[in-house]
Amino acid sequence: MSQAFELENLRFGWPGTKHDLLQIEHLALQTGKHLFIQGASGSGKSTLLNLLCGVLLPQSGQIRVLDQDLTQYASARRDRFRADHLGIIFQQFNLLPYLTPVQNCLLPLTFSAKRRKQCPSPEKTAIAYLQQLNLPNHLLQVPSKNLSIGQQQRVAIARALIGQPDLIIADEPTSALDAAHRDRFMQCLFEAAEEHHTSIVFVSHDLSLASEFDHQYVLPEPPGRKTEGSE
Amino acid sequence: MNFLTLSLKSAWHRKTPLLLAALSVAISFALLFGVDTVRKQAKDNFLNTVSQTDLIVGARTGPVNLLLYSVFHLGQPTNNMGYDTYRFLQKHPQTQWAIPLSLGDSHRGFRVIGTQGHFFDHYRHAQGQPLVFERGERFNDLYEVVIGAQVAAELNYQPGDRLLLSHGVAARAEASLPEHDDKPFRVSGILAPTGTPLDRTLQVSLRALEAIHLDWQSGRPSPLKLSPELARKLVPEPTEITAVMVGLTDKIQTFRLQRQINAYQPEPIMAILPGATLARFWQSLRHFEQAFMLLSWGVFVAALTGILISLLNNLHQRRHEIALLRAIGMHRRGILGLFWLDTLLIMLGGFILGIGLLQAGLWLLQPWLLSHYGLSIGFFLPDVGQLKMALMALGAALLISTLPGWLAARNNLKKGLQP
Repeated sequence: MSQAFELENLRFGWPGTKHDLLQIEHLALQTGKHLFIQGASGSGKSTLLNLLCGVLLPQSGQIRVLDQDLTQYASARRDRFRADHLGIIFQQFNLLPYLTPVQNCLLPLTFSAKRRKQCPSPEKTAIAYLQQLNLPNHLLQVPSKNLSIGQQQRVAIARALIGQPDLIIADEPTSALDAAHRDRFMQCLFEAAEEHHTSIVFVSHDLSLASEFDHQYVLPEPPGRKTEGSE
Repeated sequence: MNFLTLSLKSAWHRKTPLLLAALSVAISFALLFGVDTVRKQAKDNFLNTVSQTDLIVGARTGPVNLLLYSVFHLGQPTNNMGYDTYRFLQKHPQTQWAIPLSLGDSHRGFRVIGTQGHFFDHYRHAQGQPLVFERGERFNDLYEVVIGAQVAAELNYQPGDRLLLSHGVAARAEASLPEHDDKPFRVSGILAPTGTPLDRTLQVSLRALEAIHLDWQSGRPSPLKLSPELARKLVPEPTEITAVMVGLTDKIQTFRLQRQINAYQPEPIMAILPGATLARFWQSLRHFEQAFMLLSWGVFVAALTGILISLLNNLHQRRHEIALLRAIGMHRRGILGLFWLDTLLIMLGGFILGIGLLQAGLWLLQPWLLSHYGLSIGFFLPDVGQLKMALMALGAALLISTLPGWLAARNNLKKGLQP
């Protein structure tokens, strides 16, 4: 079975710091599976996600995402890879406030011809996703700044899913939500991923969510710690 | 939605700061184009003061000096020339027409030109435009005067009004000069504005000047008074004039005739080519021109700084937007594109606004410029030279906006996606 991603002998340290922030010998996730990464703040959670996204490059080691070695790619190719294959959900500020939720959902199609092809009727798909995620109909076509945080995070799921990416990367997407909204978010995320057979890498410090995932990984405390924050 | 519409929507979202920056650019463009337009058209006005006059002849002096006192009525003629010489020039086979000019009197600060009726037939300004009477007609009677447009406007004269000439030209308008108070003149006509120094003059016949000076001796009224009617009967041929404007039958003969005049035996006179002398004189004023242009560019640099500040302010505001666009696959160079697009919009908006501003401003200022400086300045759209300036400004603005773009890109590289 193919891998959603695989890290080998990964080392990463921010320029100007003595110690490496991340040292991972091996970490892998099978396609279609869901991984929960837990770590204290400053342990390099967000950095790890940036590495998986191809935004940052490690000092040494291999990062294979969907069986492609990102460290061998030039930055433009990594950007295209991200546009074609990944859906990313941030902790907050997931939407452009001046676009409607539907327009926000369609954003990933801007830079990816592959995803445009995999989404023949984009508007319809976006509306269907948003309705599935329980976004009220009257909010579909108003500027996104009118949405609550919970609603915005659900739109972010739809945006990450459009054009059928292979891997969803979520960086503390629930930390701005209260318990009720958090549960609803998690339910929506899993349903959507299940339906499209999408792999998920989910980072959080909230351990109570860990049990819902196929795999869990705890980031070790970095050596010589408390230097750079990653969040 | 493509990247361009996305960026335009983003810009619309931040329209207030962008509009303010565009406004400061607009003011700069208006100033830059305005100064440039005034500069060029003032030069045209200047060079157009005399048109189709081939030679100006006067007593021997410097060419610029002769030009200044005969055409611009600046300074004093050093010497007069004999009326006989005028007759010689007039009868010369190569001469098509010759207009005598006699200066020396004034009316409330405005110079009086003694000349002849055919002055109004042959004098040309701008690109060969003849003189036009706004009201009335040329002088026919000995005691009639034609007045320039500005004289009429400032002193509020109508055809038929009576006025007195003063002897000599005052250094200051309010200085008191002896007046030819026993021989008043009647305004026979008012000339339409020409945008030349002629607008600030009065014209009478040469014989009129002789008549009012008949009972004067060495610059003072003599005790013997002659009535206007008696003077009319006694008035002699003029003996001296200041300068002569000459039009030739054949332009090719200009230099030959010039040499011939310069070598004229009976008295020392000289001939100049007005166009060439005007151009040479304008050259000597180039420093002022350059100073003004430098000033306008200075204002522009201030506006560019304004753009830079507004973009740097945006940097912080836009970090979420940039992170999001990077997450969906925008290359880091796209960040630079975002800032460039902002700058392009600011400059384009400023350009269009600036043109409108200048058009409106000149439309409002036009009457004032014409009445105070005799300048007729028109601006509709920038010319090729001004478009080049605009392109240079745009280049500079894009260069400057590379800084915030680069800062944002570097920030993105340093901190990863999540700001």
